[in-house]
Amino acid sequence: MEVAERIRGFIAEEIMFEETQQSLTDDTPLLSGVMDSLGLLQLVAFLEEEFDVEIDDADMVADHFRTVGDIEQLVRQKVSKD
Amino acid sequence: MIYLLHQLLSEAADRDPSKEAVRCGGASLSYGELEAAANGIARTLIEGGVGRGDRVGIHLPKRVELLPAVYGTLRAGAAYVPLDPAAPVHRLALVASDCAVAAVITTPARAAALLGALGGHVPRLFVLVDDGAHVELTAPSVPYAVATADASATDPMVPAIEADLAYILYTSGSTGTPKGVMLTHRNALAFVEWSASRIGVGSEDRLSNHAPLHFDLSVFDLYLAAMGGATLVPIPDEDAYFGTALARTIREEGITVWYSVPSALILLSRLVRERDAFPTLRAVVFAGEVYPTRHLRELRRMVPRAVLWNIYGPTETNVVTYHRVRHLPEDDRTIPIGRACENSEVFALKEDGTPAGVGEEGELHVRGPTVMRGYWGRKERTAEVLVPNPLAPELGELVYRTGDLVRLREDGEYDFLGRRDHQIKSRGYRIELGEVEATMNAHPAVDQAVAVAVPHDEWGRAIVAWVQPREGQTLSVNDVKRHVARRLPRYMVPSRVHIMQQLPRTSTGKIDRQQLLRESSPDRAGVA
Repeated sequence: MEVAERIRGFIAEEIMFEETQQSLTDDTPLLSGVMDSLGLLQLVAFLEEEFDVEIDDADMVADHFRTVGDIEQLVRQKVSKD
Repeated sequence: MIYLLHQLLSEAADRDPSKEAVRCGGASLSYGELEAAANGIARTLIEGGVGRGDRVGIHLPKRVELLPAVYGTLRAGAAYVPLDPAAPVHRLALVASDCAVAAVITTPARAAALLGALGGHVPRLFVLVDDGAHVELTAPSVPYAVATADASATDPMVPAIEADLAYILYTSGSTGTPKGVMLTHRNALAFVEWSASRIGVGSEDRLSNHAPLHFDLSVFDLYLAAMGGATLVPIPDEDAYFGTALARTIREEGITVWYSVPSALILLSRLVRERDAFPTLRAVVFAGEVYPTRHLRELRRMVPRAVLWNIYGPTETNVVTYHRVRHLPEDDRTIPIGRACENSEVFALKEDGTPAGVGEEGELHVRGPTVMRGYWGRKERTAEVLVPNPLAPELGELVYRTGDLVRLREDGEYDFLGRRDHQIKSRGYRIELGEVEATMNAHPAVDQAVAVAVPHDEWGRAIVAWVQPREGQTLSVNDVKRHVARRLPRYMVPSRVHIMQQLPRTSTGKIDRQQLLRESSPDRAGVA
């Protein structure tokens, strides 16, 4: 499965509690309604485990979490560094 | 004399119209511009049929337009009802129809969603703040830009007195529907005047606004800023979740007075390790939940020069006690909620109705000008909490029973002990477990559901639920979570749900909550 799909799957299922990913695209705004601070913590824990990356405090900025596309970019950047 | 909240604005605009009143996400308004925009909104609402005593929903994310919406509503003689921009539309429709909002100030997409969810009650007017999306609306609407186009719009001077409702804040209700706390101009002003006398405010101050409008912490931010002719800096919703963004805002905006729930400050102090990191901050105020003492030590290190204030009060009474933090306990004991604000009286009554003495536990009661009018449309529920003063029944005066258990200390301050009922606090939000249970029970495949609160290091409490499906029905954990998430705000969705074919019962047939609690050690209630 590609990176974006795995991220979408997690957000749809564990944060939006949806059965399918249909309502979530790569551009759906996540920070105005979908995710709150708790959802964000869950997501970061998931990303660190799923992709074996370390997301530190300096990465915790809105630019990295506005959409699935932004999160995918953050993960790719981290994976290539390791 | 100031007797209406919106007079604070006109006085500030008279004193210095060019002074910056609000600044958010790169946009700003001076007091003169805010005054004119509020007058324009008020006139638009009145032309659209909004009258004195009506309710106006405000359903907007954090942006500068929030302030003209608030003051415009008050100037039209109406009360504003904040509709949480992050709550499910189903719940917003419940709130909007419960108090029959006459108008809603929102964005086009939100207006369309709300209209779709509203059953019988349709507001007379929508004022639409452009956010780039184009949506056709089937109800009368006026663009915000048109309503506020006249830079010389004057106050429509709708008659009003200090006992008129200024706003209604909806909080979790134990029977499954939210209840609206009605607060008057006087209720809010009494608190703001106290804040100005104790914490102080001046035109050089820059106040943050971290709390959303539907949270009563926003009352301090908005009106204390206006009272001092200071600048208000609302923090955009997406920045509120990120410590780095909060730190940047405080530094770049030169924030001098910060007010929020402890969890936001904890987020900040865990990230910012340097000492004296924010020298502009002169006062840091927190409320809404217990501030763990070890995190308070970090806060002290981060802002050693700021005066720290722990203030307390349910939405029904604004703020009624305060504690200025001077010495932190050596151990992990928590700091007190303090003593009564100078214009309020608080006292604790034991179960037998007599006053609790030093060292004794009792339920906190509040008497004074900040106590709410009542719950919107709920006389019986109001009569349960606004009761004749048991200490002076001959006066025929009502006091508010908080449901909070406290202990009077030798120094005259109160320690907070917990709740008398099933209400909990999680990340500063007030949650009735009964409302969570009623919502789960409304799922067609649920036979019975229980929600309990377990301690959680960062948010105070986390909700864990046990659900027994109806015979022959299948039910997944996500079915339950999704059902709740579509009806209640996110902070009310249980962080863990267990499906059990048979819930444990006591010998009298009641659900054995103690047994369930024993099964949920704190680590099992975590987020992952």
